[in-house]
Amino acid sequence: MNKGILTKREREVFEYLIKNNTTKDISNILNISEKTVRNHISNVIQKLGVKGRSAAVIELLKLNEISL
Amino acid sequence: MIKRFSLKRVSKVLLLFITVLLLYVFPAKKVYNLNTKESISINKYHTIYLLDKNNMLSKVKIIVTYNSIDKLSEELLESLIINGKYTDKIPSGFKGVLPKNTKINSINVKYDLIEVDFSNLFDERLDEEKEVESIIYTLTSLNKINKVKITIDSKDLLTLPKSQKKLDSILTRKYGINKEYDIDSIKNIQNVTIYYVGIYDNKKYYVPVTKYINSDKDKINIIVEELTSRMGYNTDLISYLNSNARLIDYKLEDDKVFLNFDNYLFDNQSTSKVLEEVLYSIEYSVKDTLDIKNVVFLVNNKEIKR
Repeated sequence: MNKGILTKREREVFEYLIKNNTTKDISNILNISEKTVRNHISNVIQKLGVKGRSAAVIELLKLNEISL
Repeated sequence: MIKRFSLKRVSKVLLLFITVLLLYVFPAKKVYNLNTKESISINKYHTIYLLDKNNMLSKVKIIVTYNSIDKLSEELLESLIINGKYTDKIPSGFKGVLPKNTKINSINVKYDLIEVDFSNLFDERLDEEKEVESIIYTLTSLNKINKVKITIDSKDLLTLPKSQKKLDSILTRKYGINKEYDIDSIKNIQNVTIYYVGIYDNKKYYVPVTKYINSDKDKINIIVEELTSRMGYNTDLISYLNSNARLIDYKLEDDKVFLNFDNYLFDNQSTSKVLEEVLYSIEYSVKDTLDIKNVVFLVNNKEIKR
């Protein structure tokens, strides 16, 4: 599977995450529930085959899926 | 007798004619026109990023022949090719990074953007990331060039073949070089490019490393903090900045920064001299990380003259 492909929403969630937003902040910004935000994060972690949010961020930075 | 006299004269004239003809075809001295577009430089050096013995892209200088930006950029790119036509220019201890079959099809310069079309740019046995990094950093070392566009056989390079990493169509030094990821939290992630010193055969050179780290400090303080840690992330990279050195404060003014350190910036307190390696490491790091053009050093608010 091509690890580089995120959905638009998944990318948005991680772009906000690396800018020091909490899941609560992100749910308010995107007008979705906190649970939905956490689901997006979990989906990405699973897609990338990594353990944890930090590892997911590293992979996404390496693939240029998100940028600082 | 008359016949012999005429023969003598004819042969003298013939000999003279042949001599003149030879001088015309093979002149004693060649004259170069120094005002042509592709005028030749004498002993001019330019920066290029080659791999050192640890496979780290390193800032190195080579002798270049051309002045015009299109010819010079072609010369620099050709020098990046493994066993390419300019292999003899590569200093000992360093090697090229582009595959030996790489072809440079065309180069086009538009203001601060340089567009290069290649064939055979990638080889699965080589590091595709280092190839792109060396092209970006080498070409953006050219005066007034800040952006690079890479095409392969006239098609935009938007994905790397092995990793499938996405690329922006316009590349800058924000891409990073010799990247290292040291993140254990998703909070306060920052990236800075630090120039360490490498040594080969008693000669020093600079190795940039783009670090992704967690820090709540600003980038300039991160740079100083990284350089006061004496060793780089691998023991072959060195920082000469005294581990006790402290950045008291700094001021940004347009594209210039004034960095005010304490006495520990000096190598020797009695001579008040600063090591060149300290100044260049800080200067290159700040310029790459923050897109600043000029760095001014002060110790206790007194400017260091360079």
